[in-house]
Amino acid sequence: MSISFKKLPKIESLSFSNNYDDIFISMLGFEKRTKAAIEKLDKNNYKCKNSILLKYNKNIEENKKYYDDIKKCLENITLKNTYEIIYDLDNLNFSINNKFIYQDKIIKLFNKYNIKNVSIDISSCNTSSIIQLIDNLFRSDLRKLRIIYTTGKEYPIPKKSEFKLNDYKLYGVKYVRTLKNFTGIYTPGYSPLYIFILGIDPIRTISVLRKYRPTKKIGILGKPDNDDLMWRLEIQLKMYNELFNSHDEIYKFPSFNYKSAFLEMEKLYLKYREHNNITIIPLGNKMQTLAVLLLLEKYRDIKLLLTIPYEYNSKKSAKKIDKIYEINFKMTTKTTD
Amino acid sequence: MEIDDWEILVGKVVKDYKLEKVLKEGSYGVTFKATDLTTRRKVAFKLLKIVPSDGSWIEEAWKAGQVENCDLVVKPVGIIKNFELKLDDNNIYIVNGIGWDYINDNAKTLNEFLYENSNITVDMILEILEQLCISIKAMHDCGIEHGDLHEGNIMIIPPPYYLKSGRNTLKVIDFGLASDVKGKYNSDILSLKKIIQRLWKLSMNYEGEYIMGDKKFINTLPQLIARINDSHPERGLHDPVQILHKIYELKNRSLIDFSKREIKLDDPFEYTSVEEIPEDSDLLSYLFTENLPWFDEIKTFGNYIISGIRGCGKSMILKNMRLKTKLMSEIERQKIDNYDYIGFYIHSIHDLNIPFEGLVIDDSIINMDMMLHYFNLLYTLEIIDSLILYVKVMNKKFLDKSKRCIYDFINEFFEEKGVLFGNVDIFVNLKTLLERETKLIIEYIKNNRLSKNLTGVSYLLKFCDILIRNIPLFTNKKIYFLLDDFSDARGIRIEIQKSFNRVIGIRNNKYCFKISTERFAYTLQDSQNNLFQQDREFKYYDLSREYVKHKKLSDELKFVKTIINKRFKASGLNYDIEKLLGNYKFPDGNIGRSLGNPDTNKKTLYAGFKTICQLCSGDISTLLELIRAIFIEAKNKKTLNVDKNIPFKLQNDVIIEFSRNRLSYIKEESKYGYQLYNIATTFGMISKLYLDTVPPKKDKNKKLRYDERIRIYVKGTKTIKEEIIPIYKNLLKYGIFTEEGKKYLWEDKFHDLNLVYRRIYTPAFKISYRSKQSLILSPEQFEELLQYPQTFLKNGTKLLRSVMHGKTLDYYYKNLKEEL
Repeated sequence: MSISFKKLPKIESLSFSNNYDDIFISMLGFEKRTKAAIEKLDKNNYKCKNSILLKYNKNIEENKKYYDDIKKCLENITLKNTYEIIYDLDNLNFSINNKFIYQDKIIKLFNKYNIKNVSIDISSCNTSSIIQLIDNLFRSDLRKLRIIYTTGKEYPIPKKSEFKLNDYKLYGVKYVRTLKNFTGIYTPGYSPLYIFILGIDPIRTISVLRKYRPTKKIGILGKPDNDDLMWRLEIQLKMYNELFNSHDEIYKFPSFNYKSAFLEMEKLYLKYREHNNITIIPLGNKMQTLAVLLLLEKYRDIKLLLTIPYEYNSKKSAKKIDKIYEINFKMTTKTTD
Repeated sequence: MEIDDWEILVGKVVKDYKLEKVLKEGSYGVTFKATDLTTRRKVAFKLLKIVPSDGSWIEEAWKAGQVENCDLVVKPVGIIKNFELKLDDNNIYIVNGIGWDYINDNAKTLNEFLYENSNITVDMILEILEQLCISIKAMHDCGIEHGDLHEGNIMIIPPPYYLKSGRNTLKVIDFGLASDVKGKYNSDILSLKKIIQRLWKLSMNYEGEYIMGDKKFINTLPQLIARINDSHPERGLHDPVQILHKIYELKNRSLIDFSKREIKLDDPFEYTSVEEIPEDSDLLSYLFTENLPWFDEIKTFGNYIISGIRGCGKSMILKNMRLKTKLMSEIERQKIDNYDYIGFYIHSIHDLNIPFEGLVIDDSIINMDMMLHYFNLLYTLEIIDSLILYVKVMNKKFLDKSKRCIYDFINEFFEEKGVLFGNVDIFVNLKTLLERETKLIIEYIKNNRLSKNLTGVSYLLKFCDILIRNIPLFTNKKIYFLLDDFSDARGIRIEIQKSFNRVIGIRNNKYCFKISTERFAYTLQDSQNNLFQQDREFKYYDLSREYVKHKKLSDELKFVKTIINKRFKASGLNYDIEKLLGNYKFPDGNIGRSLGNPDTNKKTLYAGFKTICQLCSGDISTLLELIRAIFIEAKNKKTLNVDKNIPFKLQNDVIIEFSRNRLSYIKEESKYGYQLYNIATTFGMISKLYLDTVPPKKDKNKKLRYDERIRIYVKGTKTIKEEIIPIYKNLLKYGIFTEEGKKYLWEDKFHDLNLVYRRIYTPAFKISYRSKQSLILSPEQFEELLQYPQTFLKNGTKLLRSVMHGKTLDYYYKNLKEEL
């Protein structure tokens, strides 16, 4: 099954009109928003046949905070079984022969239950899990995929000067990895071009830039759709300007509207693809990551690089929840673009 | 009567044609190979199974014969109408058919050809298209539509065996029969579109791997396909000539885009790193200056390992030995024949690391052989690409038979043999094939697949021999393989290096390797555990060491001045760097005394051309970045003036800030960054303590000489403790210290180390950048410094222990930490 790139779905408020799925997938995180959607669904009598709770092998203690709440909700909404699966961030470095365990389990479950309708809450998903999970779902035999996303608010804003030595050791880049489906197609002799989707916290961008010192790089900053949040963009511009030199480029693409972000990224890709080997490094927010995933799905020559930190910095996470959204992908039998 | 088995007609004579062999049976007819008994010519006789009653097919067939000036259309040589063929005493078969020019026993339909040749390139598609368009146009001009154009009606004719440089050609058969015989008709243009679509899709895949076709055509060919027969009046292409023009446009686009680029910089400090300089301009050679003594030696024949901290100019040297760089420069181009070498370049990060970055490729023998195969193909591609550029830029030609010889040699190693088609240049075609092959091999390596035709260890030597024998450019010249950033710190793992060392270590008089790397980052062993000996298998140059040890400061200043002033000139500015930075005079004569003397310490600045050059000695990229920072600040403060130097205080402030930033970058260098940073800051503090607390001595001129200690001398031999090996190696690999010895260090043990602290870190501690005295340590003390820098700071040496009891250490420690 495939998605239609011409008719990408809108971002809407979480609805309860279609209140049943074959499977519900959630990721356990340390932010409050990890449980916001599932609690709301539970209250509105949402049901699923089976559910999956994914748990990181990092920040294990911090992630226990909302475990009981989520578990309770999952018991309420699940008619048959709830599966708890470890999402092993240290094991993204699969070799082709060494299958990624989490992926194996998910695919087995999908095959077992002939799944057609899925809801996935990505509010606590990191970049790699968003890309891996949704890619797997896009490639499976689904009819409908609902992506649920709870936005956070009250993020602490980092400044580069505030970094402590230990930050690099604790939250810097442990590995740089790619995923099997997104290794790209490299043509020797063409210059490499790195496209960074820049996050609010530059620590991993700095680490990657120091590692690769790319010849040519493009930075994409998230432009908030709300004027009240424009100050975030200004802070980012200040932080990243010194990391990008005169012949690099920095663009501002929407940070929430994934469709517009995807279209803008596509334009960039089309501009450079004939002369460059393009690598994309998503370090931005979840909607920007979704836009990156769509780009990767459409253009297979782009290479994905993921940065896996030693740990995630819970001090820099959202303190409160904002709104809950959903995006409904209807799958087609053939790619239409 | 009806015939089930057409073989029964073999041997029969149909009017003048003796049928000899069934060639092909289709829905509407059977084609026989036959001999015209009157002329003794071979003909392809097409016997019609279905015969239209009005006889118009005869007229249509004859029309094809009237097509002029087009050899791509097979012409009719005879028509047979209602011939009564006696099969036996009781059966007569009525034969209608057309005799066509016989093509060739080895000719194949395009269908068969594509089935047998999966290595189809876009160059080949364009050639096929070009010939098809010409055929269709020629037929249309005679008022004929083919009406049934498909891969079965297009014949591919191989070159005769005796024509060594021959290519495949194309002929269209069965013109004009569709509408009459089949009663249906397809527009030739639409048929053409379908054929291109199929060819395009085929070119995307190769040997079961999706390689996504040719990059240069990634947009253009699908665009052409979309426009054929598009109903939009402006977009639509409906005529073969229009399509042909579009094809020529695509072909021209695919040729190397070479146009002389003006030497111009937007700002004088653009491109501080050589990797950033565009390769299709003459900037690379313009911004390069050869006037330092070690360049001449590196250019001599023989393997060289060139190390030095990042930004010391290693890549610049290698890139300027590259044929492509020389071809881009008007001045260098004229000198190509005078050089006794030709250089071909690979950038390890771009070509060997990025394609596999993020994947875990195991070190099995098979994978390492595949990596070597890929490495050989990369150099082959670089050579062929350079030769294409050479022909274009120098307006020279190579003989077709020479090119063919090279083509045949390389073609043997492709998973599927390439085929030469039409008039496409042999090297252009070869380049496309090589691009496809390297992409395929990357996919194979990712998927643990093994190639059928590995190039192996001796490939490059054989290839060089063929080049020297066939291409005059190589006569009396050595071939230099330039391998940039070949370092495990850049992702080229030791096992891969060992595999490539099998090629690098071959003693021969045709090629050699010039390798840029870092200490400890390149192994001297090959995969058979043969060990390279310095000055036997290779010579070694550490550029950082050369700068530090270089006796003539005047040479270095001249070198820097040339580099920077060239940049000013290229950006249209009339500055002189020496004037701009000025001649700063230290308040007490030299930096050590000025900083050591409490009366002048606060007044002492880091400023002036000479100081800045010395701070960045051996570190060209840092030098450019530092001068840029000063330049920008001066511009902002409006203190830039052609006749005056930038204020020294401003220079000092920028330098100290820059130095602190550089120091803080260390933490991000590797996973040991945090520890390396601690060592670097600890050593800076130690140096400061020595400068401030050791009582000065008097020199020969009775002037005070303070303790300027940015050197460590480790006396003795030691195998490093396992847990600190990576710290020790990274300390040198990332240039936090430069080792002054002449030996290439790569092992875990050392003997008498001489380490010099990177000078750019000294302003952060307000210490001297001169390495007058050494901190003499035993190997164990050195290990302690690496493993426990904080402890070493308090107990490492007698002096440090003695100041432990006073306030001095805490005072400095506290203040410096705060400052940093």
